[in-house]
Amino acid sequence: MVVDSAIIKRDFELLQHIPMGVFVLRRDYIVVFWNNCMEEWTGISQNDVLDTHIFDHFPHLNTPSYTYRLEDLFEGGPPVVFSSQLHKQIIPSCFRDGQLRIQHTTVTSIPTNQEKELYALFVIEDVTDLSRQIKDYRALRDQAIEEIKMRKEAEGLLCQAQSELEDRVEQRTLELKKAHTENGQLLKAITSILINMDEKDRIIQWNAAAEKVFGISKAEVMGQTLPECNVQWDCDKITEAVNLCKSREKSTPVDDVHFKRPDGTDGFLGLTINPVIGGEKKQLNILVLGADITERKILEAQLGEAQKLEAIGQLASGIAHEINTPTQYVGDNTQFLKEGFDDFATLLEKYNKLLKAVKQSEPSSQLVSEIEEALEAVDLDYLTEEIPNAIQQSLEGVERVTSIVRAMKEFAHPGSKEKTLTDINRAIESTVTVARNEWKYVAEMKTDFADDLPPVSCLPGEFNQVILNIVVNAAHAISETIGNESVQKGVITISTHKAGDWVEIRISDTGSGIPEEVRSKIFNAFFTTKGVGKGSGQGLAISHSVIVDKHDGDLYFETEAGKGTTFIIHLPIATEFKEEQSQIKELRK
Amino acid sequence: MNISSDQIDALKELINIGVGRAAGVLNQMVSAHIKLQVPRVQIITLRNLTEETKNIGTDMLATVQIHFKGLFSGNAAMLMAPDSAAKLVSVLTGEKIGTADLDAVRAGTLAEVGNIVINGVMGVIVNILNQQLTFSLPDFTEDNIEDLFGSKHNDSNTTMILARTRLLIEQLQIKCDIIIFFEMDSFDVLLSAIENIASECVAT
Repeated sequence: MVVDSAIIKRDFELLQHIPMGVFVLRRDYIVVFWNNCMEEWTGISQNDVLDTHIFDHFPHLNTPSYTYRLEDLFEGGPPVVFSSQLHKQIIPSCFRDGQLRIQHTTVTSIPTNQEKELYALFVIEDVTDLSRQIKDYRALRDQAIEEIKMRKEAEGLLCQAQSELEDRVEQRTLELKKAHTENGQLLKAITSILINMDEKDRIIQWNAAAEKVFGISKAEVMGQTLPECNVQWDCDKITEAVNLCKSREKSTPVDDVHFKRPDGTDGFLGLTINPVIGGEKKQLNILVLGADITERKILEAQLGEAQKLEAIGQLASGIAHEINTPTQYVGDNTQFLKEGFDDFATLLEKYNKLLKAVKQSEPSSQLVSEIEEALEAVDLDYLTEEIPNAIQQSLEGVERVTSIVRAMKEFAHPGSKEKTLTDINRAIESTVTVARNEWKYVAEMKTDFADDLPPVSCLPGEFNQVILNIVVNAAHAISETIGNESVQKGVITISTHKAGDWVEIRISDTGSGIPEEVRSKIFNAFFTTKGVGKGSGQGLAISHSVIVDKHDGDLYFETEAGKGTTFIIHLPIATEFKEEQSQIKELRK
Repeated sequence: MNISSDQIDALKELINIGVGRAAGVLNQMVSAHIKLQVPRVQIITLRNLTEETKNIGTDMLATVQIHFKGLFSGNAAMLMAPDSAAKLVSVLTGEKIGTADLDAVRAGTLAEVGNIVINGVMGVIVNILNQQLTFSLPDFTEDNIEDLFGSKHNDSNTTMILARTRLLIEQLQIKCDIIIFFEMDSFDVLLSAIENIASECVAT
């Protein structure tokens, strides 16, 4: 069939210039029209394509998926669409950059001048830009959807997290409430005083024990400072400790705080001031913990007394012996004096007879011989010589007993509860005397007391106790070294002297020294190296407490294995005395 | 209007052939195996159509329509729910099944599918009845059922053929309805044409 190109050209001229690919196929797939756009897209000129088979140029069109659909078209069937997604390139054509053009094709049947002859008019739309835009749009949309999805998931997770958080907060709150209740119960249960103060020293906690000890309810003191609350106590001492605790940020003990108990009696508190750093601002709170130690103090005092009694008990036999010896020879001398007095009485009676006879002028030789016999019998020379000695010895014996009794009295006297100015030398002497029986068999006692020793403000009873403990220990140490049967005695040396503002007392022995491994323990309560029944382990512990705690002094020792030990006591010289001395100095100037 | 059972059978036959051809075309085009169920053909009025299309399960419909003019005139349309339409496009193009939106490119694809299905049916009618008709280009719209057809066909007694079928693609079942409207008297003309063919067949 010959294509009437003139007719075709006339009919389709307008389509030459539209910006879409347009071509027309005859029923036998011969190309009868090919517009400019097709030339441009395919590079195939109208001359080359017209009157040729489309399949020669585009063989892929010769497949049922195209031909089958076009069949009805040539019979007048409905238009056929080849969409851009399912048939991206029906007539492949590239852009200058090599990218293929995406095409959307519509094929409609068009009548021809010949009856019942229908052509297929292909109109190809370039939808590359549209496809790209839609692709971009889809990517954006998918991204947005993904973001929304993620956001929803995140919201879900957030909700879940929030819900979990709420659960945890609820649980934590319950735990805190429980802990709070438990804390409350704990605070109620503890018997120690517990006072908590904020950074401005205002009381924020005052437990049941504090209420009981001070007889003041929590409500009365909340928000007040310690000096403001109505407790009669040594507030300056506590305030000073609180300030010290704040500056050092360390627990600060403050003992023996005097206070008035609710029943009006005097009491003592043992307190510890503790720094507590807490809260959001890391402020420094103060926690006062403590107890009413009055009972303990009483017990301590009783213990001290008991220990003294124990010592006296131990000393008793020795003292009895000490007293017994002079008593014995005073008794013997008195017996001797009694017998001597009888002799003198007999002699005097004879002399009286002689005196009467002489007065009556009747002396007889018999009387003279009787006197001479009596003189011979009584051994007048002996008596004249020995009686003064016996009297002297008796007086000495009595003096000895008196001094022992006085020392006993001085030592064993319960003593004053208040410190008194004490002559340290004399106090030591008394104690040494009382303890004589403890040391005299094992040691010589050498004393070197300073004459100018100022008096010391002390509790004499307790001080004596310390000296006794150390002297007895010294005697025991020497005893262990020399053995029971030794003839060679050791030496205990006690010296006193003034060292600056202190009185120093040194008590040395020539024992074996304190073994290295026990040196750190000897001031511990209940520690002893002595055999069972010989020592309670309280002596040096109490001594340390007496010197350091009660007298603000110092007690330490120097020891050398095999050579002995020296205990050194430092006691502060009484302030009153120092003032007096300085006044004297001033006057002298 | 009285339609004999023979006429209805003939119509069903025509539509069956058309759907069969459409399925063949679709299978050639895409790699997935597509099967078009044998349609259930009903002759109904516009009044009843609204009730029927409610079965699709949505107010909005994705529609591909082709108008035809000639000895008999009317509209041929393929209808489906938008999400089904989007799913169908995704399967055909191998895209990930994403949102139900039908952009221009997807609408083009759907128009081609509708074109194939409608052409299958209308091509058979044209061929067998040997009638010259003029067809419009397939037109894709997304609208509710009343706006799609109500305004164009005021007469609620307008007769139409409703062929309900299903596209079965792999595991997916996509509901798809084909509707052919006929303008005033056109359906009668169609029936007469069928009648003629039938009598010719009998004569031969």
